[in-house]
Amino acid sequence: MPRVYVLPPAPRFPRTDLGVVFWPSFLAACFASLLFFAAVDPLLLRDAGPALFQHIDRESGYALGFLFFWVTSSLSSGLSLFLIRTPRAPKNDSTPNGAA
Amino acid sequence: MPAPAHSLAGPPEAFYAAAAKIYPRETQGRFSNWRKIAVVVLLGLFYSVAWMSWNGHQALLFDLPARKFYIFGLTLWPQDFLYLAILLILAALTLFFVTALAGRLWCGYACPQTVWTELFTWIERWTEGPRGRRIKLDRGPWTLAKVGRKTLKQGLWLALAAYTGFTFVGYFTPIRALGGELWQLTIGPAAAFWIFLYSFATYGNAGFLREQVCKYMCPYARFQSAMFDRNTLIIAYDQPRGEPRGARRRGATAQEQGRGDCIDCTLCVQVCPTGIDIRHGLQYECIACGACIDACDGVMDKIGSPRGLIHYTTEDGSRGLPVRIARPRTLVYAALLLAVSGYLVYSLMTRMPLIVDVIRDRNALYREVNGEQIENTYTLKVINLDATPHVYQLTATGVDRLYVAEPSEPIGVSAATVSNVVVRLRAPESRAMGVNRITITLRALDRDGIQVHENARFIGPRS
Repeated sequence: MPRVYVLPPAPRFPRTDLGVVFWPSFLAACFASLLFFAAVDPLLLRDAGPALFQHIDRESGYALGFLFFWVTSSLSSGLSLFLIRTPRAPKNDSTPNGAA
Repeated sequence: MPAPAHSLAGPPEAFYAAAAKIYPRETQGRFSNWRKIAVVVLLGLFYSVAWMSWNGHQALLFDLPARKFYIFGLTLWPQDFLYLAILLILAALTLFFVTALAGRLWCGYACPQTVWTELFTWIERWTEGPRGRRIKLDRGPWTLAKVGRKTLKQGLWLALAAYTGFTFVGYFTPIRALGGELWQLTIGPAAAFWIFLYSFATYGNAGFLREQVCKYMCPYARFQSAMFDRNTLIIAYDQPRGEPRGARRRGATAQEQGRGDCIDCTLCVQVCPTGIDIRHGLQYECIACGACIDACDGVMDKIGSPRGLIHYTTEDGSRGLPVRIARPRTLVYAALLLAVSGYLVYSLMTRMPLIVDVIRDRNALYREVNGEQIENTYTLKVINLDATPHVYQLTATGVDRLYVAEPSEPIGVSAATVSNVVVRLRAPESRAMGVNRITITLRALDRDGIQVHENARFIGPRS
């Protein structure tokens, strides 16, 4: 009996996925920015960091930091979604392959 | 044989159904009056407090560019992060307490999502008319009148959203300066970015997403039920009284027709901003706004039945059991609330309005002066957190005959500023061998009780 693969739900690219990825990561980024910048002054980071950032002011530092957190947490959310939707062989498969 | 391309899997799980647009019917009554009052008061505060001054600075300003928070008479520094954390914890505890007692009072009356949606709905009603006319307008062809009404609505929405974004950012950077920069188009990219983001969020959330924010996006809406118990205030339909529902003949009473008080007019469904039918029981979509109560009360008045077919009650109350306000859950929340706010008040009252950081000179461990004196150099970062200037006396102890060679006069620091002071301490060489622990003390001369001790090292030659 040929092995049957269960495909993940049809790839709807959909607003749902965008929302599920970017919205919780937005909240997480807000939280991370709040805690991080309460303790760390962006200007200290600028002075310690690469020359690329030598001319930014504090407000841009906050904005860049927030975007950084948002991108990072979006990657995490997106990866979670990807892992959930990766195809899997069905459980309780009676073939020898499936039992392995 | 290759695996077939299609499988036995069922239809994809539907997490999300495309939301049908909801046209909530306007209501009149007690609870919509309360909401109107809440909208006027809360948004009035939001738009006006940003422009208030207090002792020469903006009254409420979380000044991120300067890293200083002004909360009326209180100035918080990054060092005071603890207070900010406590304030946030207090806000969360208050929300829990109120939720346990009165259900989703926050959602129905105070949440920014509700309040701004209400304001945007007023604009919508003013430009496009009441519910029936809005539905007709959306279904109808694009006439000139429709374009005009839609343009006016969108224009007002955008203007309001933009002003809201500006005001919001005005709580994080001084609003008057921000207004000037905006006017002269010299605004920085960061401020412009935040204004755009908050304007966009206001426009999208209050104009389009509306109840979907509560249903799909809000974390609080999902976990608020954890704070609910059988004595929490909820909005409920009095099923025994209402059922069996059905239309009523003119002049007949419910009993004569063998029916309950609900005449199935569906007004409670039409007014619901989240589009649910409260007669199905408590649902997580219910934001407890009370619109269905107002609608139903109006109908009951008309058909001559007592009000309250849909009413505020509790799970116990709806079963005829007594309602208990004091119960473990509320008592625990209240106790926590009292303890944390007591701690906040206490720590604010006893807050030392002075912070001293001692930084040793990195260039030299020590210096010999006049042959037999050892001198160590420090930079003192003196932070005066007070709203008034102070003059501080510097003393140092820990090594025999240790004295302050510089500065020779008391240190003056103006209100809410940081002053870097070079300090030279000296002691006889015979007393200052090796590494010595010393204490540097700064005491305000013009106010009793302001005094800070800092530990430092005084280094002399190896013995």
